[in-house]
Amino acid sequence: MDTTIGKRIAGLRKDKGLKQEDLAQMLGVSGQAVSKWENDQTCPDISLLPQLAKVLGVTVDELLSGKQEIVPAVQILPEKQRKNIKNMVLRIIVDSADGDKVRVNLPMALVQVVIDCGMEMPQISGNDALKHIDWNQIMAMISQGVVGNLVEVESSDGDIVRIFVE
Amino acid sequence: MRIIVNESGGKNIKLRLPSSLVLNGLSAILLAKALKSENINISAKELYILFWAIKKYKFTHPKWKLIEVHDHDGDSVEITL
Repeated sequence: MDTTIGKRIAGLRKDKGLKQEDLAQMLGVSGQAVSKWENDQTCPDISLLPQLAKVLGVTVDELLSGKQEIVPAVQILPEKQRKNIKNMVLRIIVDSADGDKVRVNLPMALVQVVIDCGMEMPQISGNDALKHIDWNQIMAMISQGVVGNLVEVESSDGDIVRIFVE
Repeated sequence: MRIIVNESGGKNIKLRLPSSLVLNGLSAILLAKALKSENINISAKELYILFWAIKKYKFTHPKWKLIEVHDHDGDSVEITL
């Protein structure tokens, strides 16, 4: 996890695929204010923290203390609440024991094309933990309305791989 | 498509490549051959369909951050559509 609150805000914002302007708009502040937070020049106002944490998908405690990020729990959405599969995103997160981080944000629209073509998802970043993942099973789960943290694997080297859908 | 390489030492490389230059029939053939040598069998036609889907997705989601890699030394690589 990043060491300062500014770096944490920047990292979480990027993980969400948001621009500084997007985050600023959601919180009703200027883009410059967000930039200053992320560069640790200023801190967000205390009254903004709950809203900021909510937008970034963490608790205020996680935002302030830098505890391990929590990915959304697995949920089975009722049919009415399900998004169109083409508007969903498959995120692959690899945190290596050395401190390297890999984030792959795959739009489901592209994953669907890959599977429709009969291609197999290639091994991601040469990580052993991903070798035996059954992508067809994951797709079947997603089509049944399962979202959240679908896969969490810790390899013998200490690498952690998570796959979640949102 | 943008490829941004940030080195912790301060050297940054920003490549702005037109998608049509990177994702086309010729690059699909070249990539298919390169993947075959790595024992990943994906045909050029399949790759071309994928490239087409990526280009289509880019229209609706410009600047989509596809891949982000940060290493423990502070270097990072980002690939944005």
